[in-house]
Order: sequence, then C-alpha cells, then structure tokens
Amino acid sequence: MNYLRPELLDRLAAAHALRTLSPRAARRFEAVLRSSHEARAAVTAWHERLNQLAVSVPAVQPSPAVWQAIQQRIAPAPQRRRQPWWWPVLGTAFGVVMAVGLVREQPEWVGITPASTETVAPAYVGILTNSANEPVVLASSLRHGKVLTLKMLKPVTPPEGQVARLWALPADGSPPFALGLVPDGNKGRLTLSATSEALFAKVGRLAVSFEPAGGGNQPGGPFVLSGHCVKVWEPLPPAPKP
Amino acid sequence: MPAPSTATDRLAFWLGQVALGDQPAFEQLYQATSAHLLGVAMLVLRRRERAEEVLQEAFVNIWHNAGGYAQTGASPMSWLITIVRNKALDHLRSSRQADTHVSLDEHESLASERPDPLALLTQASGELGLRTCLDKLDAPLRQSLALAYYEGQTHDEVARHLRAPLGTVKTWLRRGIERLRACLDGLGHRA
Repeated sequence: MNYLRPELLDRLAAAHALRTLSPRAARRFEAVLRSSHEARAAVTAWHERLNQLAVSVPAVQPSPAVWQAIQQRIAPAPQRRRQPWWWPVLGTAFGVVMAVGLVREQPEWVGITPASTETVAPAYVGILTNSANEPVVLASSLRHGKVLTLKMLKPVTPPEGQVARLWALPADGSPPFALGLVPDGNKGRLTLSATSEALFAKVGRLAVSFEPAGGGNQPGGPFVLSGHCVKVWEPLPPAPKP
Repeated sequence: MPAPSTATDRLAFWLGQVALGDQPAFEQLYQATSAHLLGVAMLVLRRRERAEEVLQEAFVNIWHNAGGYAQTGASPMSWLITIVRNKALDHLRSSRQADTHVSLDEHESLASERPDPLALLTQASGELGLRTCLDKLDAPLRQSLALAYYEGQTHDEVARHLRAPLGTVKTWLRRGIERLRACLDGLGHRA
C-alpha cells in the first residue's frame, strides 16, 4: 500500500489524530510517521482542526495535589543529588519498610522501648515528609498508649501568627481529625484523647498544616507535611509445621 | 523579546521558556491550561482520580519535552490537548484491555455524569462560528464525530452506541471530518 498517496495519507492522518484507527493500523501508520515529514504535518493539521472542538469542553479545576506531585517529579537534578539515594522512598509505600526498620534498629529514637531483645513493642509510626520528600517529623505511639511522641528532624516553622497542627487522615476518606499542635523544639509529646489503637487503626496518613492560632476543627490550609501512618507489630510467628 | 499579547502568544512564550528549564513559566503554563486540559481528560476517563493522574503524567512529559514543541508547527493549545487526550485514551484503552468487563460496566454507569457529546459539538460549532455550516450535516454524522472526538470512541464503540453497521459508521466519520475541514477552511477564507 502506498501510504504517501495524498488522499490516503490525509484520510489516515485524520483517523490517527482522531484515534479511531485499529491498533494494528495505528502501528503501521506510526512507522510511516517516523520517516515522513509530510505525514507528520498532515497529522498536526488534523489535530489543529479537531482540537478546536475542545473549545466547548467544560473546565475542571484540578486539586492542588496534582501540581504538588508535578513539582516533586520535576525537582531540579542537583537538589536530588545532594540527598542520599534512599531519600525519595520515604515518601512512598517504601516509607512503611523504612519506618519498620527504624523502629527495629532505633526504638529509643521514636520513643518506643523494646519489649524484649527479639521483638519491638507494637506501635503506630508515621514519617512526615515535606514537598521535597525530606523527612521532617517522626511521630510514634505505643499501640495501647495515649501519648504521641514527636521528633522533629528539621524545624517546623509556621508563618507569623499561625500554628502547625497535626492531623490524622482516615484511610476511608472521612474528614481528618486534629491531634494537636506540633511542639516547638526538636521533640515533644502530645496526649491523645484515646489509645492510639482506638484512634489510628483506620488512619492511613498523618499530615501537618499551618493554621491560624485557635483555628477550626478542619484543616484550612494545605498540608505542608504528610506521611503514611504505619502499624508496627511484632513479627508474624513462624508457620506451624504440618 | 516583546511582551506576548494574545493568549496563544503567551502559551507559546511559556513553552519556549519551559524548554529552557524555566519553572515559573511552567507554573504559569499550568495555571493557564490545567483546568481546560483536565476537562478534556475527564470526558474520556470520566473519573477525576484517573483524569488527574493523566494530567500529572502529561505535565511531567511537557516539562521534559517542551523543546520538541517548536518543531511540530502546532498551535500551543492544540499541542497540549493532543498530549492529554492521547494519554487519556492510552490509559482508557490499556485499562480496558486489562479488565474488559469491569471497566466497561463501570464506564457505562458513569455515563450520566458527564456532558452530552452532541451538545458539546453543537456548542463548539456555535463558538467557532460554524453553526450554519456544520448543522447541515445529518444527525448521525454529527453524533459519530462527537462520540469519536470528545469521548475517544473507536469505530466499534460508535457503531455499538449508534446501533449502526461498522462500515456505515466509518463512512459517517469520514464524511463528518471532511465537512469539519470544509467548514473550517470556509471560515479561513472569509476571515
């Protein structure tokens, strides 16, 4: 088939722009596009025509998280190089593994005394990172305790006249609830209204926002720090032998 | 460089700056276009969560490939829409391949929540000044064009949707876009 016959080329270019070609036909035409400037120009011309139809598409404002995620992904390379290789994983699901490892290796760091040399006392742990994925606040609480221990790895400094409030974000998407204010200095403790098991069993993330002092019971500003809230239980017993 | 005056000039200027790694320009580009582009992705994907994922992917892509824009000869908005619409369609089609039944069912159940494609086409032809030209087109031709463009439906899907034979739908679509071209060209000559 001679793809460069003008009439056929134009028809294929229109279908390619509209995305109605079958996957096989699309692959064949893409090979033509790679080698033919004429074909590429024909597709561009069709995009120009068709995309004018988008003028009536209703705009939908993206949530602020989209831009934050984009910014994180395009962070300048030099800044990344200054950080250890494992830095970004703290913000992701790997943060779970890191938190467990941290508790095992350095239980006193997160305010948890080991139950024995073999195991770690059951606890909830959160590592809150900033928009550059750097860990800033370490939060932990024994499973049946009512004290949340906070360790600040970097200073948390709200703007003048505001406070840094810590929130628990339930995994099911129900509204966040306030845990208290992030204390000044590099460590502190918050007294919880119930045991951490009662409060955190269904919490997926912890987050910090800057709020006017005395602010409401829902976050008013964006979250400046956030991280997974992880259960750190004893290791599973070995599987029973048959 | 003189200050860009029209919206299109501004977008082209920002894209040029983005190609040089200018982050503030990138943010301005995002602020100016993201809501419209999310609307385009929502029409195809129907779910905000998925559409936002696609928007994020698209902008990361734009950041890295803005340098390629100048070579295409496209207008900036058309270039951006093409990236987002293609990514949304890739996403839709690969998720359907992975689990045809669930995603198709889910897709149908969400159908009532979004704008009617034919109404969007009518509105667009009004805004573009093509009303008298495009409205001459038979209803099934306009409908198949609207379904293919706004929702990214394939020939098979349009045929199923309009309960028409596949060959007929292909002809309708070909004639539909030919008419669109003639209408737009006519507009160009009048201007």
